Amino acid sequence: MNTLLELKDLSIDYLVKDGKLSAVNSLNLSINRGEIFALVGESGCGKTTVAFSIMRLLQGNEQTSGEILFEGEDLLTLEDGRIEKIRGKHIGMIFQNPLDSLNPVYTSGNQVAEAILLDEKDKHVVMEKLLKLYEDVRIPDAPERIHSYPHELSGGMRQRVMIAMMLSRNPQLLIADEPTTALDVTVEAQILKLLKELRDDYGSAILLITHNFGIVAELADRVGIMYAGELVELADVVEIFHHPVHPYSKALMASLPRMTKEEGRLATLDGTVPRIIGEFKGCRFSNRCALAQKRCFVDTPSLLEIRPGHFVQCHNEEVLRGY
Amino acid sequence: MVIDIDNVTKSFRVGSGFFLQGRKKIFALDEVSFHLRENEILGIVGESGSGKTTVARCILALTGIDEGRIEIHGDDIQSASRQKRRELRNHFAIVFQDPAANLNPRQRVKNSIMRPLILKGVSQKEANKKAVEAMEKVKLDARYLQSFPHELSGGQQQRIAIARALVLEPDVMILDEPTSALDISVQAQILNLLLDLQEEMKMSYIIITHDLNVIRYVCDRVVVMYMGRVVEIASMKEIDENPRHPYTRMLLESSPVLDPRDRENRDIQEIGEAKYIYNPTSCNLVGRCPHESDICSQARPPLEEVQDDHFVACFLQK
Repeated sequence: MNTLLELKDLSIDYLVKDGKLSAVNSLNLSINRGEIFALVGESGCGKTTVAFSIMRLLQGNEQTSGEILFEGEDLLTLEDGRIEKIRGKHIGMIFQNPLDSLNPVYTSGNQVAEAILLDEKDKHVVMEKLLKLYEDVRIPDAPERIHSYPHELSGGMRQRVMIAMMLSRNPQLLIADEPTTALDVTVEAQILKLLKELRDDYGSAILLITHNFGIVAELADRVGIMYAGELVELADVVEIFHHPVHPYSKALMASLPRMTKEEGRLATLDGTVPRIIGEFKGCRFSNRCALAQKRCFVDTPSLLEIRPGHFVQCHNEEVLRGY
Repeated sequence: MVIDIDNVTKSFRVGSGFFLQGRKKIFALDEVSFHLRENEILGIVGESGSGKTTVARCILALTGIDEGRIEIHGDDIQSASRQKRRELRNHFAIVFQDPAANLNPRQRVKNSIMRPLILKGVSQKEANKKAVEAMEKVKLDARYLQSFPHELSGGQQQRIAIARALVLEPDVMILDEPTSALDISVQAQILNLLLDLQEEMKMSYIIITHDLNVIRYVCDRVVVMYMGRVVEIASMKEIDENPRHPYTRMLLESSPVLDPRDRENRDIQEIGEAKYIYNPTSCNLVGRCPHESDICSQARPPLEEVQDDHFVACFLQK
């Protein structure tokens, strides 16, 4: 089987003051080995909740149902001891702000070495591996840099250290949650290039969580677009950019600044994302959708495959046909 | 000309530790010159630390400068008296990146919008009327005047910040990363709103951002900054079609493509990151520039007009 990670009917509700807030609702998707899959959506759509639930890092005020199959094993029902072995070893994660993830009082090399030490005890081998990793993530002057503290490194270098730490255990899946949001464009481009090269060299799959379509266009193989906790469209990256089908995906694509003001105004989307508490019937996008019909407010649509590998969650026949 | 910045230098003294404090100088702005024309949207692009925000602070005289002149409609704001400075500042309004930090969390939106008017001596009744008008201009329902900032979404908060900027009827609006904290569909709304307001009220904007796609959409002219120096100034079209400075080209190449089919043709160089070593006798890009030659490390390239209205600071463009 080529599938590495499979989410089956994953639903996550947060228990809040006024009931159950639906953060993720019956999400189905799979990630193949060596693939870069981007989960995109606006803030509050549940993309980070998905990432955290895969790592079993949610705080405990949530109710989860469904399955998260990693190499056939359901991560949700694993006991704590076992999940700790998978975290880091099989699934690695990097976050938006690398400074939050690094300990300020230890040198960067020390922290990466700590991760290597989990698998390797021989000090010389650890040192060799450490230098090799620093070279792999293109940190110049590795023998010097391993002695630098996080505050002595630039933002891009810190993110490289985090990537090195994650790679040290050679995980099959990397989860990158907004990996370049805190970085400058020239640095961002280099980190993205690095991630792509690492996928090619190490063969890890990458789950990329972002709201930045520039990064998606740059890096992803397949894209899932989330809206209010649901996957509304899933397709190959070129399909998503050139033939978006779901009205929400279309609106997003039309709002990307890809032109000049002389050529016209960007399309916009009115209204805001609903906060869904308790039972919800109908399509979650219906209150903002220009094409909404009666049915959209009553029936919950399901994800349909309109072409091989292109899935859309919409009732409207014309939308589905109007490919 | 609305704003004329002539040869402005601003340095900060830095250093770590009590005794070393102030030993080192960092040039946040180094011989910066450009101007803002009437009815123009000028973009300032650059990486963090390039001095783009310092420029805005100096224009408003929130920070002093070491050398040079900043003129607002012909008046020097930096050497003006307090009274005169205040008058000059009335020409401006400023909107910052984080809309939540822009507004007082304990004040209703209405008070936040009316405050600049009240400070100027406008009566309560008149201020109230103007607040309602400002809300109309930013296309928000007047009932939000009674809300507190936390009850609003990021896009709404940014609209409120713009509404507050508008009540004083400025002729220049300075926008520091106005959309980088916002979602993509909200970003489009705010950018369109800004463009509509500019046409309607005949204002000039200075937009500071690192997002070239945003700059490309809204700006007429662009100033590219690198480590405190202006490296290129030209119309947006020129910058896009005919970038002359190696750093500008680097920025354009690094900027995300927004079309997956273009990604294979890109050539991203391992250029390292900006290093803050002040060297008065060489180009700041030395060490990162792919076209470096001997002269680059011997002298600093001055900003020169290479074509009509296209200025570049690079020896190789001669």
